[in-house]
Amino acid sequence: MNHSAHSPLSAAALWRTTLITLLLAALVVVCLVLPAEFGRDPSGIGARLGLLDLSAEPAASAQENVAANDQQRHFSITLGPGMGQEFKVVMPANALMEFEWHTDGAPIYFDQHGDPLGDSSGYFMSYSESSASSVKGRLLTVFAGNHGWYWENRSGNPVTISLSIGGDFPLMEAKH
Amino acid sequence: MARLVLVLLLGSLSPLLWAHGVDDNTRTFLQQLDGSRIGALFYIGAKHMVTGYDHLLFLAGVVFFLRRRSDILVYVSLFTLGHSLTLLGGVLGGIRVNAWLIDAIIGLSVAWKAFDNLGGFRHLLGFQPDNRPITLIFGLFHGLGLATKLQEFELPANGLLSNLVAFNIGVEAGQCLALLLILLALNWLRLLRLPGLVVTFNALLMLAGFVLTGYQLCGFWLSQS
Repeated sequence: MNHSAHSPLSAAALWRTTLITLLLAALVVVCLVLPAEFGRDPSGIGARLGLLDLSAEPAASAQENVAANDQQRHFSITLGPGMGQEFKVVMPANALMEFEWHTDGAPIYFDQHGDPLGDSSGYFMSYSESSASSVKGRLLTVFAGNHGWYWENRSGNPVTISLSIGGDFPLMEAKH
Repeated sequence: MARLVLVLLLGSLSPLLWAHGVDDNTRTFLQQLDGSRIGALFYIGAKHMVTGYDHLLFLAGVVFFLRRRSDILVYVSLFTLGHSLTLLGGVLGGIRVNAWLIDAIIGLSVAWKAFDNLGGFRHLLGFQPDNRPITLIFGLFHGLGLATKLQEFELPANGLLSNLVAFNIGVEAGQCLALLLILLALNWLRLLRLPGLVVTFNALLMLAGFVLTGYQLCGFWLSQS
């Protein structure tokens, strides 16, 4: 290449520039890129800047597997510290859903509830409300509507929830 | 005429770097693709080139010290050759690599060129690598990354070759356009006669290259755990 024959920097300045650049890059990756892109926040700066929200997956965007008749689906939901998220499926009345969910470690606050089809008053029926790191059970619906969970991460670290649900009705995620 | 042909060839250099993702509409389109769609694939290729910041950063580093048109042509042609080979060969041959690792290497290519521009190889390491084979090799990596991303869409065999060629030509066209803008911007910068331009520009370029590398390595590491 036709570089100017001499370097614009002395050897010492070149070393310094290269090392400082490496150090800065490591800082940017750890403090900004990791929390914003991957939801990992070893420095705690990502949470302070609100970057963790950027990597929160919308519910059910990920891995969905549909089995044959009796449908079974898996969802993965990641919540940054302080974040809450609703996840519901549309169910007819008298339908049975088998569900199982667990976090990647820490317990998380949840409220399992349902709201009737076509209801705009904001009414919902709460089935159970607690904190847990894994819950397994069945839900038999009384009314048609959206049934599911509200999770809230009250810890200081991101939590990933793995949810499996199955039922003999068409599994469709509810819009909220 | 010869010059026109050269320019067209050179344009073909297209490294497509999809360190940036494919947007949702494009994704949907590619997944539903059936048969030959030359115009659309040309556009997607060109768009990818123009909006692929990692590729643009590498190009800016490569042409930073090049003043003669013939030099620019040689380097860009080498890059084009490398990436076209692996793009076409990779998709047709079903070769896939880890996208995180490829993008990490592409980030390193940016840092490498910036370090070279700062005189790092000559003054710190005591040798000056020949940048021509290196540009070709980085071109091969860029094309391989592209081939890997394209294969995720499982393009139908129906019309695959013409779609691929249209995509590649689009990439070349986008690269030509991007190159012109980069050269123009560099000339404007030089015109300003900013003190320390060489050092500042290449130090920032190196920083961007290292950040890109770290980003992709983190992605690789987390995807393995």
